[in-house]
Amino acid sequence: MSDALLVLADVTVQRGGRAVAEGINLSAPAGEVTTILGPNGAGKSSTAAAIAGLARVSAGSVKVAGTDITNRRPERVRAAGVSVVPEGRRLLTDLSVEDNLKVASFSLGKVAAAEGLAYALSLFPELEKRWKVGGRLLSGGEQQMVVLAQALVSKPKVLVVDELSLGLAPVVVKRLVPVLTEVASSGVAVLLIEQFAHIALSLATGAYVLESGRVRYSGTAKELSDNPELLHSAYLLRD
Amino acid sequence: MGILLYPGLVLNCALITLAYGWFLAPKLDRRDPLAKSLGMVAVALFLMGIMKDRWDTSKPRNLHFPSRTFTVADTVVSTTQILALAFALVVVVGVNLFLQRTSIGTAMRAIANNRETSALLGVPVRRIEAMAWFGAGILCGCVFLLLPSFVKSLDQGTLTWFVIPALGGAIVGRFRSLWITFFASIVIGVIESFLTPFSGALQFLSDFRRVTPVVISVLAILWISRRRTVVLAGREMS
Amino acid sequence: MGAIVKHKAFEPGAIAVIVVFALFVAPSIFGAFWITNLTQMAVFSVVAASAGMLYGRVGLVSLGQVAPYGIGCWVTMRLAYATSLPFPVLLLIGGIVAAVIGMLIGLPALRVSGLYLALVTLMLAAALETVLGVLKFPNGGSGFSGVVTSLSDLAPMRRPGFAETDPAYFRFTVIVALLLFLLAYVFLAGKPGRAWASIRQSEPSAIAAGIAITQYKLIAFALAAFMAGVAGGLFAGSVQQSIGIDQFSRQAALFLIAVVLMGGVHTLWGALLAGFFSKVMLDLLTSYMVGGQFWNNFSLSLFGFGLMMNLIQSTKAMEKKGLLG
Repeated sequence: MSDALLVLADVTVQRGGRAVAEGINLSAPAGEVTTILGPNGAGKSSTAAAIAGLARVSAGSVKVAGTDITNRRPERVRAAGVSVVPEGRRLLTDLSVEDNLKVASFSLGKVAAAEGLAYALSLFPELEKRWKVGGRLLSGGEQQMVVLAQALVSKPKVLVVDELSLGLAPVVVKRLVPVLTEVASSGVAVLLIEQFAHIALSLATGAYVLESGRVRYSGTAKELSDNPELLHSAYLLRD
Repeated sequence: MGILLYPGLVLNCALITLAYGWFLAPKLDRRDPLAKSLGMVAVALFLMGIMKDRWDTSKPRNLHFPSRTFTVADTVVSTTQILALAFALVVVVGVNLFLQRTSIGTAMRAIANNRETSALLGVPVRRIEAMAWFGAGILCGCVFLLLPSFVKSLDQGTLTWFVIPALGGAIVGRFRSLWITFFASIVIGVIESFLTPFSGALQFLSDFRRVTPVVISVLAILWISRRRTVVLAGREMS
Repeated sequence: MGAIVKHKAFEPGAIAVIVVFALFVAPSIFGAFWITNLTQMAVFSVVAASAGMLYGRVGLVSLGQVAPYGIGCWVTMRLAYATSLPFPVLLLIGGIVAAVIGMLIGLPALRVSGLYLALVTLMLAAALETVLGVLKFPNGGSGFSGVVTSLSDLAPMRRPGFAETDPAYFRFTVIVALLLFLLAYVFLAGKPGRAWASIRQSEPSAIAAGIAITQYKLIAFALAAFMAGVAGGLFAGSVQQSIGIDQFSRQAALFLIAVVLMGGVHTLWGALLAGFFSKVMLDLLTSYMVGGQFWNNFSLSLFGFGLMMNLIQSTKAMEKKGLLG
């Protein structure tokens, strides 16, 4: 896995004086979807926050294409080519779709911004109709599209998506899934964090299972699909 | 001195707010709006202490903007008054345009909406915030070139506490609408002026005219919150 | 903010030592100047405790706690000249009037929270400054405001018969302050204290738990205003005449929140420290160190600096505890 774009080595994240993720080792290679699975409270989102620069990494390192981005500020992480979509569809609700995307391309040059916008809209043409609508008035699916589009505007090397499917109708999820595959096949390392394993395993190549802040399984998505008991043990056997 | 005095004063004001925005504000950037405003209280106290020492109130000072007066329908109007009103309008229109049309303005709105998300999207939050501080300093500096013309004797207390009627306007505008803030401030000012000449039995109206912004903003809060039962602490600004 | 919960707000042993010192030792070793300062320190620590209680225990920031302080002062003074009621009764009336006005003012203020509450209370403090500026403090005259203009008619406000002298009045102040702290403790230890803790943690979950948050916030405002009001009366008795409004001004309002936060909002010690900062420390600096007027002028700067340091420190502490993001 030496060609992995995103590499987390022994990453520990503390919140409220307690380690919520401890000694996380994982890597996401370019051109593939890698998934992190795990029950609620396993430390998945803390790991995403640590990559994004929102949570402090107290030990270990986060590297992107060999560059150490551990504990960089969020905007610097983004500048290093890592886009993180946090859980809960956190778009800018007071701003229109247009402004949401413009803000996301703020740090880019004029040409790159225009290209990025065109790219994002080619993935989500539906957004063009809602161009001037405020973020608050969008449906859940549309909000998820805006958030994904915001992440992709900067043409990242690494895309981290925390909970793609949570709270969305199956038909919407079905619409979004091909986008991730497409993005990955264009050479992006996609890290998909999901509580529900079904969709994630159908997309992913590499897979990790987190439980109580530790990696309980690391291997291939195929092995996990073939041996569901591996997954079940992580979800059920809490110590 | 001379020609450089006015821009110098404005820049001085802006540098102070920029210094706060650059060095101190980031230290509180993850706190709620309340803690941030207490940070401003700290700076205000700090500056007031310095002014108290540097500013000998026994020697009244003044700063009169070059002005001419003329009469319109029995009312004496000065060019400074007209300039002040025009300046306020220009600021409202200009700031609105800036916030809506420019990328920096959009980034400012994004930060006001959600600071963390904006940072995730690659907005250089600290730099943009420092710019906002600088801009606010420039506006304040300009205001305090015009304001002294309407004040009899200048002292640091009087000038500092112009923030109270200003807050009145801002509360009515809910820190969101510049236009509402503008009109509310005009209304507050007009009511105060109308109360000023009362005397005799109604002398108290004149005496208590300075309470106007408080009354107006309390009424505004009652009106704004008439249906709301719960306000999530610290979330009102989001 | 501030989920830091301290249970040991009162430590009986240490408090007993302080009270014994204040009642029996201090009056005999300090001269009139320092006794007056210590009296005002005791008074101010009650005001600080009231503001600190609102902030630290209920999560409400009032920048206008000087208002009930000023109202209590004015009412107590006016009644001291106009009636022959015993002094403790005057204090009680001053406190009650402050509490009632505080509640009336609190009603609209309670519709909002956080920053708006802070701003509204600051504006109300400004309004009070205007009103007191017009009414002026009573100085022995007749009528509603009780103000005389001719200097010869000036009369100092009376003190309780058993506490005419400065040391005796100091003892009286310490005892009343202690009673007020006990009153606050009774509230904090009882049902209101638990309700406040829950409101401070999260208003929505307090509502979900069936706590009448408006009612309990009003109780908090009333209690804080009562404490500040009685403190105002004590202050009036300490100064006795020619009180200026600067004690109750907007500037004093900001100053108060600065020293309260610097002292600490969770314990009685914080309130005492706030009292010390504002009423003793500066005089110590002026008296025993070079500088003189320098300290007087720069005191505001000093406290502004202290407040900023305090905010930065508490932010660091919150980050360490993982309370921020």
